Amino acid sequence: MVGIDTGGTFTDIVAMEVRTGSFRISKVPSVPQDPSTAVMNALGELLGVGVRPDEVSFLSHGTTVATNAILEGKGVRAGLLITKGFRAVYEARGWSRPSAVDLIDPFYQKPPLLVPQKLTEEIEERVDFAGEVVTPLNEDDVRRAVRRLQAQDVEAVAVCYLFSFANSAHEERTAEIIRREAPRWRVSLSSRVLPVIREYPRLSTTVLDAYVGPIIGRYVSRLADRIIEQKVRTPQVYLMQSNGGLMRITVAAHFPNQTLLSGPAAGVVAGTELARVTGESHVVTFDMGGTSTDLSLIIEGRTQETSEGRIAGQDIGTLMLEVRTLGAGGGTIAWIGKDGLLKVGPQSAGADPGPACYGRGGQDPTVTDANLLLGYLSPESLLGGKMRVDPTLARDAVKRRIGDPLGLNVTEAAAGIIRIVNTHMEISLRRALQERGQDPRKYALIAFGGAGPLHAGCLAAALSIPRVLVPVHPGITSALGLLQTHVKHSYLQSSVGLLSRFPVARMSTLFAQLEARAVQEAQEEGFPATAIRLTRQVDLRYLHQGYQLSVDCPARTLADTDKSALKQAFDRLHDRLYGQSAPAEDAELVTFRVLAEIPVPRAVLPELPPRDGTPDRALVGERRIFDLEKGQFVAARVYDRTRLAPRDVLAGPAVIEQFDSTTMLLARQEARVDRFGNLMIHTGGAGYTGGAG
Amino acid sequence: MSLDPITMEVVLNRLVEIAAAMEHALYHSGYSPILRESQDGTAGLTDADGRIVIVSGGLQYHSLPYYHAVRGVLARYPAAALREGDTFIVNDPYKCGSPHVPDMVTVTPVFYRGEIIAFAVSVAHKADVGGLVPGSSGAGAREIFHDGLLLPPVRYWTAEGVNEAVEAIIRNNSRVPDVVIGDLRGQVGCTRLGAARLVALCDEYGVGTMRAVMSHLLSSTASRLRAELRHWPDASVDAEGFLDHDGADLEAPVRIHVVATKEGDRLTLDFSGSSGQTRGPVNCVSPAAQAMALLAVLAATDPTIPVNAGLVEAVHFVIPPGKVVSPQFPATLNHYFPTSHLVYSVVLAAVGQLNPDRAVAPSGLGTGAMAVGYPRARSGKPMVQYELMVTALGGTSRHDGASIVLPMNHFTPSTPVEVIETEYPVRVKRFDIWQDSAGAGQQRGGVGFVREYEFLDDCTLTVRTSNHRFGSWGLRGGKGSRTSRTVVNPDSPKSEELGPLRTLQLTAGTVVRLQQSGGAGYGAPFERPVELVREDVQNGYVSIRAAAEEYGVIIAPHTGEVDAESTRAHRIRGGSR
Repeated sequence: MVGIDTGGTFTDIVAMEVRTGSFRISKVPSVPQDPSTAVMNALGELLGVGVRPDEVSFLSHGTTVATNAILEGKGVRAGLLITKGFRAVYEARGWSRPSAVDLIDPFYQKPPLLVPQKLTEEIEERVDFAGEVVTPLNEDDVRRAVRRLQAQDVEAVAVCYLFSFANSAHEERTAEIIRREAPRWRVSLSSRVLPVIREYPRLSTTVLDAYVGPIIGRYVSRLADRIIEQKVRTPQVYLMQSNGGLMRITVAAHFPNQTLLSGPAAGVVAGTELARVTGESHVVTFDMGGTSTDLSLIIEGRTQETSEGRIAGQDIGTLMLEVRTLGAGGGTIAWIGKDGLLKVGPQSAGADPGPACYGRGGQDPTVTDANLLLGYLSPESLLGGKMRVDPTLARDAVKRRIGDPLGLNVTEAAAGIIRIVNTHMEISLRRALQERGQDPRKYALIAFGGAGPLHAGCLAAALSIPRVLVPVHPGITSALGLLQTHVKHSYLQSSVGLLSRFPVARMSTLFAQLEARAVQEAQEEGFPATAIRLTRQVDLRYLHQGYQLSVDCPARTLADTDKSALKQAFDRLHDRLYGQSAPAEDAELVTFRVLAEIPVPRAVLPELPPRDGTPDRALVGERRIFDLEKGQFVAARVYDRTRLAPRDVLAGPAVIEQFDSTTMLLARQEARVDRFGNLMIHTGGAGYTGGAG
Repeated sequence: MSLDPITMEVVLNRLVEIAAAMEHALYHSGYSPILRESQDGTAGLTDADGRIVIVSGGLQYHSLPYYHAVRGVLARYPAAALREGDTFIVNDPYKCGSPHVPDMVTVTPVFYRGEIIAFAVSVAHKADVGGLVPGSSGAGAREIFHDGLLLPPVRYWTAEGVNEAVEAIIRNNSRVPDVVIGDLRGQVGCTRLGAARLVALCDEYGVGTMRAVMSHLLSSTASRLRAELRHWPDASVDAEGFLDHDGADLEAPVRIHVVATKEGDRLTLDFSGSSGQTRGPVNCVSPAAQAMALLAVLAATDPTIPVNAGLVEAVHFVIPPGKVVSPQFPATLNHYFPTSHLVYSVVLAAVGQLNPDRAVAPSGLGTGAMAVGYPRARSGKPMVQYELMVTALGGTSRHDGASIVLPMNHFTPSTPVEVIETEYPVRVKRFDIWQDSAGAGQQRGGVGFVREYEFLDDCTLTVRTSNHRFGSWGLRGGKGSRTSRTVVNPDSPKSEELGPLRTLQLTAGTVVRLQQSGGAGYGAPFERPVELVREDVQNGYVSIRAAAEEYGVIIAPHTGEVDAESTRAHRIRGGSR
């Protein structure tokens, strides 16, 4: 089984031998101009070391092709068809949430329209809130619009009419006309892409689908061809989706929006799998890399989803895993604010020039420089010594830019940088927990990415999270996640009405329609109907509330008693999240959801044999590290991770080094190596005890 | 207490976190469409004296009213009479500085070891608190008693729970009691959450540290603003703007005038030249007017300076009592919004002369709101539909203004058409960009919009916008924008132009069209690159006719192509025809 994860700088490859569970990892440089080349280079590297193409039984891939197209404004020229008279829906962007500074800055600008007004055509038609046709579709308007857009050389078109989630007939008919008049265009219908209430997020999401759809289409077809050229013939070739599931590469062109967050999603999947095998029900995945940190919650074994995503200011309502990203990574820059205080981030020195200690001309002190000066990283430890760093450059940068202006010595300044970046991560995580009504004391933190295991001990202690789990290969954990999930698709349909008055027969019909579509699409994707697992949810809210919550719904013909069970489940959830509920008040149904899951082969983490002797076999030395709590350097033992084995127990302060990461064990913390080789750190849970508010 | 810059930064971030958590709780437990779609509310913390330290939420101008609300509570309940677990509410603007009666303020004192160390405060708009019309803000109001229920600071919650008597009075005075009480409880909850979190922060870092950080935040804002002011030339400049009328005396424009005098590191804003307080409801209480003026000062200096009470230390106000920006009880206030927006625009115009690098053309005037009372909404209950009416930003030295956005506080509170029609018996017939609504300029203003409603049931409509006569003005050769207008039954023989401020009973089938102004232009329109004008025409922002008349760009109607030769000639002639 092979997982290939394309990132901004590197493309990671993980190959697992199914029979033995042994795996190889490798990195090749990404090729932004033609990302499929890096994928093929990665695959070539694997085939070059003796793996036969016909031994590749399963290939899963995470891509940033669509994300980059949006970030760089390089999607296709697309057209948009809307209900006549509603050009301001997109122009206004009624969801925009400017930053605190933009809020009061008269130089504020909104994100650019991906389809300009000149490529937007108004169509006479109207459906009302109940789905009744008020004005029939003017088909001549559609034909005229198509002709005008043909003259403008568009290659894709989005259609978003008002209330199309309640009645899609006008959009469907429009698509028929377009397919006849302009058969080469890719057509995105809002009633297919996101059939839920609220016209602006639905429109923005549909426009994104049109804007990047042809790009993903071309990418996957080229990639599929090149994979076959390499004689890899397995039909099990998948793309990772933002929802944490896979989709077969043959259908990926239909769901471009689902690739937008595939990188972070793979990390969450890997965390979910680690949580499962280690028996943790409540987990935070903490992925800290060079430029940013991704945080996500797994509650009672379940990943959390959001429908309020945003990429480069573009709103996207497609369901995706809820991942909080903040500008906190190894390359994050420390600076002095206009208020005279030390600031860290969100700007990053990136990979080039990178931290000052890299010696590539970076003048700004970064988090990595501070970690080096405090002894957490050793000059030899980065990438197993492959990458040399220079502590004197780190010292100079921290002294010149931070220490001298603030009247602090280099150690104080470096410790300040770490305290502040830790504070940012702590706040972001605490908000994530509190907004979901979660008690951190029930949680384990799963730390990965190059820098995650270095900061996890502090982060967990600050939040009273009792355990930290550091996987065997923190640096490629995301890529491993590509091999640890199912095929997943969500089907949504808004239908708004009071729960008490909503006919159960209609509820059952709506679910049945969504399920029929799920089964049909799964068959089109090449799976037998019997392989599909379907689960149902409804989104409920109290009347007049603006936010809805998802509640599980039984998968059978519904009876009136089910409605009161749904209401009670909703009341309980509301109480847990917001500290109050209104059992006496009616609830409103907003959206019906069906989740289709289809099992595919998954990588199973191998168990490792214990070794003789004590952890001292892995001891490689001792060095002085800075204890943030005591404010002084203390002696710490240094271990080689590869020589640790299950049942080993280590006591902090200690540093555990490996090729792709460094783990810090603080004083009074203890780490045990579990049967998979993961480090389980017991933090002692000191620090902030504010609980879950 | 002197602290190291690292602990300061850590605790500062933690205070920001508390305010953000309060804001989240406010918006996520609120009931009414105003809170959930318009985000017309804020939450934050003051110090023990009531000075605002941090405010989170859409409307940053709530900063100074927080102070007056806390002082209002303390004036009625001496500090010694406050107990742990108390939450107070107040909405009388003359007793709490809040802009108008529907804005309710909750105040929760924060105790640490028996001592008051801070106040957690929230201001949020309520859908209806009685008064002349649904939504409470009637055009016909002539004194504050017409604006709805006036609560002095009262104890609404204690450690034992809600004060049922107070809640019963509020319920009894609202057309939509469930929604109002739901939102109010959300406000109470968010301030109590903030109080608990601040106590936990003191446990962690010590109350002395927390106080030192609060005081550093205020002094840093003051000193950063003073440092900016030092770079400006010492001078005295002025600016003025007009509202069409006050809603009562329809022939008398209302003047906002400011003299901005900068000396050293001190700025004085003198509003003595403004009109006296009005009979109609356009008055704006002085704390609110000052807060708007301070936002304009920040806009013209450095918007990264945190909004807090430190601003007041660097800016001195001269506002004689009895002006439209300093009305005296019992003047009515419900339509303060366009006045406050004009105060902001006029101050920005004045101080922009002192700091030309950050001068921008004004946003479109005429912000306000629309409220419709339905006897039976789709749920069968009486409901009030309330929508903020925004405009667009003016052009800047760098780019065109942003389209369709609230000026001063740049969010876009457009309630989805699909939500409106699902909840109320109304059909939205248009939500369109308004061609030629933006002021022309080298960088033009943002584009305004048209919104048209067909009411499907009898209802009571109050429109509260403004500036249908006096519009915005251009900067450095740019042009002002087209003025807003509101028409009942447009394009029909029964068509009637409404003023900016009217309440009327409508029968089913009536159509109302609101056109909201674009932003003003920056720089001479003839300097705008021809290609950008052509694109504006293609995008429908500018008509072919306006391209010729305003920008001197001649475009052939049939082909859409620019006639380069006549354009050149036209632009050289300066546009005379």
